Amino acid sequence: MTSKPWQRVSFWVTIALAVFALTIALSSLGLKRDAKALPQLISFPLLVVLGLLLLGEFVPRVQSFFVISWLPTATPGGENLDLTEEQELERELVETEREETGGEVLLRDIPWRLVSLVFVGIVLYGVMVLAAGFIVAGLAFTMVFVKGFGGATWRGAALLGIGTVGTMYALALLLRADLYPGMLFGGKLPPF
Amino acid sequence: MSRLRPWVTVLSAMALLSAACAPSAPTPPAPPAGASQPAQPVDSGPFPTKPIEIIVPFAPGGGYDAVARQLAVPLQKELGQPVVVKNVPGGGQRIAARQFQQSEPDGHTILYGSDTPLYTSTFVDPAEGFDIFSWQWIAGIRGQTPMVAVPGNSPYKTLEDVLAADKAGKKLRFGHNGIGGFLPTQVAFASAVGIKNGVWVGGFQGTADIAPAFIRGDLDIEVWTPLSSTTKFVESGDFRPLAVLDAKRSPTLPNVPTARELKWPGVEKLEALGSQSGFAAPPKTPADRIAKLEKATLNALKDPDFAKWAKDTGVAEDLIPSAGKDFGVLKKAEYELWKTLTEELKKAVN
Amino acid sequence: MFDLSPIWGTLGQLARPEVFGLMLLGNVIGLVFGVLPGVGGGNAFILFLPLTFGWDPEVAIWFLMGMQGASSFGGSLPAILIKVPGDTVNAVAIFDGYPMTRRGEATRALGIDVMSNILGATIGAIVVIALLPVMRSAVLLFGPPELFWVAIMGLFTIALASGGNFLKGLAGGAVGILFSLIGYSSVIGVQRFTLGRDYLWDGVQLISLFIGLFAIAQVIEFCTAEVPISRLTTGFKGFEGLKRGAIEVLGMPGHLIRSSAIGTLAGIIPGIGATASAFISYAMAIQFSKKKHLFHHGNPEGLVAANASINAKEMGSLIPALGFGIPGSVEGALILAALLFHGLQPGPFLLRDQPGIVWALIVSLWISNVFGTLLGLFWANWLSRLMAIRVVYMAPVILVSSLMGVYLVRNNIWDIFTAIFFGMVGYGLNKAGFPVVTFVIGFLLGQIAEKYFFQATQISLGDPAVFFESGISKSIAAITVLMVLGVIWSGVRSKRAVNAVEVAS
Repeated sequence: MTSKPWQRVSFWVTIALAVFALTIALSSLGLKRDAKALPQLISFPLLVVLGLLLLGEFVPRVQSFFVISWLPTATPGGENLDLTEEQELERELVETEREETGGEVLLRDIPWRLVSLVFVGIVLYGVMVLAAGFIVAGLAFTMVFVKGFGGATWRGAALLGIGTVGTMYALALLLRADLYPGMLFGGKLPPF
Repeated sequence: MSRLRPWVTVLSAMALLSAACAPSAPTPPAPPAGASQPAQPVDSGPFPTKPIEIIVPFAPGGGYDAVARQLAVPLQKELGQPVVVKNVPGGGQRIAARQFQQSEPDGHTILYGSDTPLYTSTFVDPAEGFDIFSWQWIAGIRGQTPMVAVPGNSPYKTLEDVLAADKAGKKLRFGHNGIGGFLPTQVAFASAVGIKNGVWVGGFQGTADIAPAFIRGDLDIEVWTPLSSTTKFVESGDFRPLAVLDAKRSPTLPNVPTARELKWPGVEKLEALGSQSGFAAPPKTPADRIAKLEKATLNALKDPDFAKWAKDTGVAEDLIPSAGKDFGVLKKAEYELWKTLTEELKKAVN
Repeated sequence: MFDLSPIWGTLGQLARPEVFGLMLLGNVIGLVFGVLPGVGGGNAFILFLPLTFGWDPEVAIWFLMGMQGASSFGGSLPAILIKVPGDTVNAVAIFDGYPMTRRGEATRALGIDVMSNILGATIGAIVVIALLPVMRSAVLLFGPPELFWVAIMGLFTIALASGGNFLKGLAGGAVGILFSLIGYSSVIGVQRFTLGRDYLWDGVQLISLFIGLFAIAQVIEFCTAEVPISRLTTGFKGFEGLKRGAIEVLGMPGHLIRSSAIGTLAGIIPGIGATASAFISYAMAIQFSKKKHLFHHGNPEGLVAANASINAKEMGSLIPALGFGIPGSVEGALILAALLFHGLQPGPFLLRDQPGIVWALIVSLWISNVFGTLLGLFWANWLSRLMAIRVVYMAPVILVSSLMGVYLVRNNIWDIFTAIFFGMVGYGLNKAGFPVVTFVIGFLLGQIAEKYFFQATQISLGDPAVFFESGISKSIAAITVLMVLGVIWSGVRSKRAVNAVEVAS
């Protein structure tokens, strides 16, 4: 491991989870006896586990102690040190996949610009639904997205947008469910 | 302070209702005389002009949902517009209540609900965003008779046995699904007959999982509403009924005596425990539209297809087709009863 | 043994063209609704129920069960092909189905899917028929103490599913449990962590959490890592793949029977739920598998475990519905709604008074599972071409339609923001290597375990002995202990093996 802990995503997610666990632990203190039993039974040990995980980020030995590998290994004793051919293949497969998907993800591995763009886009979509309803927001989002990300033509984008929203609209009609019309078009902000 | 406001509102609502709903169906509308409100219902234009939506504060598949969906068919014929059931479950009916309160008061949105859990939970844990006393009742639909029962293999045969056990210090376990559900009814029953050692076992979803627990003997006694969902267990001997809480015997369970016949203590309170459900319109809905909806509802309840369904499923005996005005009076009595139980409810919850 | 001859009579109804046609129509509807994320078969059921007004009840049952039987297969298609589950129960299918698709083995995965669906339903049907005479006692065997142990056993499967970094698995599960505690608990009589909002009164909605964790997290993944879904074009194509997958299933009777048993049991005992039983069955499959390392990397066993349990659960949920007239689950509630709608009184006497209806329900649900699945196959072949579409076109469609589905469940617009929130949570957990499986198991069972614990305590008036009273409680507790010991043992063994290899090399 050559990366520093704070360069890894898992470090920061662990901290976020610890904050969440701490919030639950603290806010459950004021509850009555029965109500706080389980939250505390879970959140305090969780804090310990997260602490160990954080320690593991700094001390690789701690980390590797808790890693249980399910990869096929030769049985100890030496009589069967060689894996079968099939097992070798599977092992290889799993390892390549793990390299691609799992493993250590560093902060710099994440295309931040893109990710934040997508995050903001999705939240914006939610806000748009609230403001202008599913039909308008769905159409606008699909078109802008396909145009912006996919580089489609406006015509293609419009077709996909109308197709998607049209299908959903037909379904809602069939279900006799009214899709939220949006606050701009008379939709009331629902109780929260 | 906030306890006073409902009173003011209920009075004004009653006045409004009596003005609005005086021409009760099916007699032709006639201007009610001597009302302090503007007597002549103002013509609010053609109605209905778009689909009518019935808000049901429960998930699809329950008893409320079934009645609303069955009633939607003849209502559609009466009103000439599609009638759609919209399920808004959650929050002990409070989500639906708020959504309903905020909906457009043009008669196209109505609520099918019983507000008993709503105001009991309002007493214990005041909620904002809706005011049940501002609702305008369109018509009463169903008055569900409760039944008090013990499990089939229970040692108790009568209420006297139960009370004696209670006096001897035995804990009596009631099942419930929360303050927005059956808990208020159980507490009210215990308080009326004088059970001191009630234990409120919560965490159930509804009749569906209380019934097996009851048959297993995990619970000692229970007030069941509605009666129609439990008659099958009485027939099979899983439940031993002690009494029905109504002025007269139930046609499906003619052998079960009423609380009045048995001279149970607090019988007036017990008979008020049934959950009364009906259609309501949001405040400020024009009176002529409410009258139209009232007439349509009362006619729909007489529809032969609906009547047949109601008879087959046992719903028929609970039906109490009543004009909005009469139903409002019933609602007021309910309110009085629950208000007196506020302290007991608070104790049971905590 | 009791009379099985009504089965043939009920099957004979299929010879009537209108019955057969309506069942197939139901199948198609169920498949379509199943495929759409967030819109489950339940929606279709409620939607089409009024349509059957005035039909002969038995014909209506064929039609309605046709929808019911096909929708879970419909939901597994997008789960396997694009990693977006059609319904919450199908989420398990993505863990091993999607990696197979990425390897270019989509048709093999679908073959496995089909076969395990059919066999799961068949095993479930056999169990249900065998239990008919004793169905009442079967339901009554499980009270709060027993259900508490079932939930605890389910929670301990978190340990089974925690491969790789064991601590991360546990932490994920614990966080899931904490999320499940949000909301009003009627057994304790408190609202917890609701921030004073009625919106959180009912807790985090399952559908919002699932659409967030799976669909939205996947949308983000699609957008940020521009990779085609299937990176290999080799592998099994067309019918060859289907056949190979289907035959593979027959080679794992152990997984089939265990998963179907878990599913059927979850159907019989109200309160655990189809989704939880699918996850438990998946975690158990890991423990019993000889190829643990392949889970999450396209292990056919994982797919079998998920599907068999879901379909067996559907059959099992007939038991409380038929025996007591009580809805043990969403599926059961729908069936009861259908019976009530047709003026039939479900309850203790249904089998005595209306045996035809009971058999029609069992047989039609089973048959429609088989037909619906086979029908879905034609479609699957066509759907699998979706993978050729650039993901960037797929992402907005998934996002728009799945969020609409979330909204349609209970018409609450805030649910879509909950889903978006969990989409981000899911993305973070994925990137940091916290397994989603354990998070979901924790969420599904945490609050349930707590509920049954306090319910049992209240019923026993505070006597803790209630948890060890019945034979069932004791045996489930014993199984849980054995399971935990098994995990520890296999963990220690694998550590030793690794050490030995390191020493040797």
